[in-house]
Amino acid sequence: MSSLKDRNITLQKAESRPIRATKRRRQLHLFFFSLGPVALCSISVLLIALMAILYVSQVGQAVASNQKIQQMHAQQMQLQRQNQDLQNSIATEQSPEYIANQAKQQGLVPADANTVQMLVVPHLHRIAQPDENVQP
Amino acid sequence: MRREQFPPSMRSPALKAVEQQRSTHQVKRSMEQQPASTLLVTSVASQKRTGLTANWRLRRAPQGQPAHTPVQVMSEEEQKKLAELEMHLSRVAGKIDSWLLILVLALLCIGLVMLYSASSFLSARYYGDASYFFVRQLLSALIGVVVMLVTMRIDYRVWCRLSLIGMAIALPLLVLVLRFGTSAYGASRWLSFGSVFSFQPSELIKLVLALYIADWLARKGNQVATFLYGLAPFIILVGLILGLVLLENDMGTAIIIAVLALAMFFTAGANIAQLLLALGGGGLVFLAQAFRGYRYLRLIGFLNPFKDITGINLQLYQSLLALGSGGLFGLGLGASRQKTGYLPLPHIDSIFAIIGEELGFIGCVVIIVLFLLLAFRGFRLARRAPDIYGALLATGITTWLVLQAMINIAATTGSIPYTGVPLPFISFGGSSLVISLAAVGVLLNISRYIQQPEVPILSKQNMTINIKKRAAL
Amino acid sequence: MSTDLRRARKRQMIIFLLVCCGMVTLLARLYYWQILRGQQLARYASEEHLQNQVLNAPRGVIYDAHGHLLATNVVRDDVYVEPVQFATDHQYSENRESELALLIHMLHEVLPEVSEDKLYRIFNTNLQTYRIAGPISPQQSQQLHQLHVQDVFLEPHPVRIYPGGDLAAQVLGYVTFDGKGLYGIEGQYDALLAGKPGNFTAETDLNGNPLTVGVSSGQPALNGANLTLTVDSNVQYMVQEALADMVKRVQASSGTVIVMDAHSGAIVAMAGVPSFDPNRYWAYSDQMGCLGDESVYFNPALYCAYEPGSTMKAVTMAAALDQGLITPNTTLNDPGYINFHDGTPTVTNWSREAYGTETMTQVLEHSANVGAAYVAYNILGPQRYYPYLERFGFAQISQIAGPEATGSYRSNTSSGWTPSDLARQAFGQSILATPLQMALAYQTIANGGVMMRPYIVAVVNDNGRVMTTQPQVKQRVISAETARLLTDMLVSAANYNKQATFPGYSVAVKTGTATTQGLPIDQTEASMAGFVPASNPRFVILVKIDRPQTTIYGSTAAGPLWRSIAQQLMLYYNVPPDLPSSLESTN
Repeated sequence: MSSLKDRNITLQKAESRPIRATKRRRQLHLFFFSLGPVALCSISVLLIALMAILYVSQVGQAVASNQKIQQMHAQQMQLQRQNQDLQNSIATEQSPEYIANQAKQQGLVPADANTVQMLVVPHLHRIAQPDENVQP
Repeated sequence: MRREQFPPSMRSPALKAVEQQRSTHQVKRSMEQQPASTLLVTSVASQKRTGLTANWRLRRAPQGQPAHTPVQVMSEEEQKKLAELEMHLSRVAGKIDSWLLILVLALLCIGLVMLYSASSFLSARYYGDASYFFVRQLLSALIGVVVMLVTMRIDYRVWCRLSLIGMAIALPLLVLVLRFGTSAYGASRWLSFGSVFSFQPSELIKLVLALYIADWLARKGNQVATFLYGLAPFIILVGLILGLVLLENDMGTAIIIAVLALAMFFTAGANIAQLLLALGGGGLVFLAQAFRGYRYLRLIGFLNPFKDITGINLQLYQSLLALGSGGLFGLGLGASRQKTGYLPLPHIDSIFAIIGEELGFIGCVVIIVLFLLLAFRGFRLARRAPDIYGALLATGITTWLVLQAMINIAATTGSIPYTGVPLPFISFGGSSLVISLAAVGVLLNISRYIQQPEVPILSKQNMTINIKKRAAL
Repeated sequence: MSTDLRRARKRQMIIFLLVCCGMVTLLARLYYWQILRGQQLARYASEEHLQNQVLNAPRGVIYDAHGHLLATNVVRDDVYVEPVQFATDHQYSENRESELALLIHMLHEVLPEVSEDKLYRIFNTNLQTYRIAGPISPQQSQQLHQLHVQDVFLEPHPVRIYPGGDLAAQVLGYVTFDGKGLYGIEGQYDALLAGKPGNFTAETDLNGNPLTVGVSSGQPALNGANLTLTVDSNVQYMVQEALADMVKRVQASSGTVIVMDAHSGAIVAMAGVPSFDPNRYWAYSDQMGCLGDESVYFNPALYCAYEPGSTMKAVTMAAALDQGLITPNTTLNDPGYINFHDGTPTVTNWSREAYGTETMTQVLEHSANVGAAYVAYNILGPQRYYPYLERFGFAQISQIAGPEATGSYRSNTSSGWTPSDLARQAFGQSILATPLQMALAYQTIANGGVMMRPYIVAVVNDNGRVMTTQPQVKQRVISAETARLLTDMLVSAANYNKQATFPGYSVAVKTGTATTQGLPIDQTEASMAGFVPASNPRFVILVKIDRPQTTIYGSTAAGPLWRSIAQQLMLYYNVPPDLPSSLESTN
């Protein structure tokens, strides 16, 4: 019986509601914009996607930088290796054996200490070196 | 928008005539053929009510009468003629199903975000720019959305006539791919025009086939149940397409086309027994032929995912590792490790594994629920379609999209052997995205013309009847 | 509504239910993989991603006194081939043979020392990888890189290289392929030079590059310390050349030279013949030095203990002078032999030569064994002699640059000592000393009686922490007066001999000609020890020639070498002459 009464009430409510030609769209009044639920949903989906994309782009930039870092690291290793080889070459060419060989190839002979003549100059004063304090 | 709610003055005269004819027929028929109880009802309806019940409207069908017994008001041919006529009527379009639109939009956005995340590492390594694939996908998405908006406005009945032309274009393209196809990722399914634009005809054929078969089946009507005019031509038609697709070694697309056609055929009213026999035969042929060569190895590998993890099972094993690493909440957006070279093709076939790794079980559940909701809205739409063509088309498209998703997810989780089908809206692939969005556009267009069914499944009427039945028992 | 449509709706419901079932199945499967087995799969994934890399610490570099590189590191490649990979790559190709031949030909062109037959044999085996050559020179690495050959890869690894060739080889030692230093400085300071390797654990991508989103941890490598030696490259080269030249001229079997700074104890040069090339150390493994007794890798200046012979007489005199028991002018009678009461064998001079009455200075000039034995046996006695041997540092090691021999002598407290030991030790037999110990004794004399601790590493630079070795006094051995007196005695010994003197400078030297028991008397160890200039000593020089054949005496075999070295040292270091008058006499 109660259901009959309910139906009665709803029937009366339905009858009191005017029949419209068009259905009134439910609208949300959000600040200046009035958005329907569809537009609201789509815009929120798009905004969330945009934020996620911005976040991922940061990660992507980090990845790209990391790759560059790895490349530069590899390059650095390569250069270090070349540097070591060059230093070795310099040291080899500065070694006494190498210099002596080069000298011999050019026809020089090792000096004989006996042929060095030392001159004794009496009363010799050393001229002051430029970096010593000189009193005028 | 319900037809009944139009005030009488707004209806077109043809429609009015049809309505009148129908109503008179209804009354006549009801007078002659109805069982006693219904006679009682109609007689009650035609009588005037007095007293307390003077203003009551008959809202509920009386007890005992099942609500959805078909009421035979017209003969079969008359019904057919009516349907044909209705196909050519111009009609006012309603509003689209906004749920569907938002669902697809959500899937598209998730797809773009996940594609960016999954492809960033590889594009940074091979092209120096982390957003190489993302930009191309975004472009395809924009084109697809434009196409969707266009097909949303085109009345879907236009495709009846155009689908044959579409088949005439798509089939030669399919043949062309066999000769001139450029290969990428181990398959040659693309036609490329220049280095920028490449197009996959097998995606197009899915949509065109759906349109054409829907039209073909709609025109067949009851003949679908027969063998000579129903099953045999259908098998020949679908078999031809399947053969062309299988020549490209594209097993995944072939399965989707087969199931899609099957679903439409089944919905159109196939004879169950014949259908099962044909299915059995086709299944045998499939099992015999499909597992040859490397596909056999794939099957063996699939049965035990942890064996041979560097050879056949590489993709499956790495996908499972990705899923497992994700756990419940995932590692966080962009934090996938598997995409950095361990998982092959993370932006195409295994993007679901990356979703699992970055967003976890929650993310996977969200995606599956989205596709489930897509299926629900699509089938709901198919149920409410005004004509058989629309219903078939809606069924076909929804089945196609959801099935493709299901096959991809199943392959990633190791539930079926790996087939190489991309996840719709999410995987990288311009042609796949554009065609899928076009199909969704057609669906949205169908949704403009839906009718409220007499008894929706989830309506209070149906539910209370069921509850009352149970209470009576 | 058509019947088709109604029928379609029922069937659509069925399809939808199937789809729902499918989705639920997928959800269940996902739950299984992600929640139930998630931990296990995550563990597998971690194992795949985490890579641990050992960061090699670069070995410390060794410089000479002027900053020239003596030992440094370079990266050299080893060449590996992959026979199995080649077989798999060319499993299905028809022209496998020709490709193999081409590959082998190209490899042989770049690496001529690897024969083509050997390469054919290797490619027919079933090995994963095989090292065919290495380390190869940078030019060969470059060539192989440009060839872009398949199934051949280069494995770089650090190699120790000595730019000076065999300069100071026995001082430095060498480093094996796995980075372990042996012999010499490389051996003694191996822990310091090697540093400590670090490690780096990170989640990496497939190629091993660490990921930004992944976790990473580790500690950096600790570089090896750089060492600066007190050795001067030019002096070392000069000494090595002169020694090699002299050893060849007198046909000796081996030789040693030490040059030490007289006041600080720093080693300026330490050379030995025969020596080895540390850049190719493996080629010398069976060569012997130090009279054929020790491997050529040992530094003979530190390891080749010998009976010093007459150079020891200076120590004997120092002991007696310091205790005031003698003066340089104390005389004794030298008939060419001396007998002892207690059965000690007779001590004779060389060729039994008799000198009659000699002062102590003359004992040194004549290098008379009799005089020395008399001083030690009669004047000093064991109680007063052995403490001085100990104070002079005999039978003690300094551990300055690798393996060192202790030397030995029987003192009166050791078992088996007889007085004959004392008598013979007076002139440097029956006692084993290393050239370093002898040089240190003379350094004491040159430094006014104060013995310094010898050192060869001047500066240790450990990652910025610089530690400079300061000259350290070990102890005062004899008084300054004794040193001065002894210096004068040595100067006159030098002038008497004239083998080591040269114009402009006063030198203080003592010759030594030592014999070995059991060997014929013409197999000697000729040595000469002293310092220059005598008035203000700068350098202590010890020269030792083993078994010279053409002339066997210390003065004739070692003398000219000593003089040449001393002269060149004076010129190189611009030491002003302390006897300018002797210059004028030659002009």
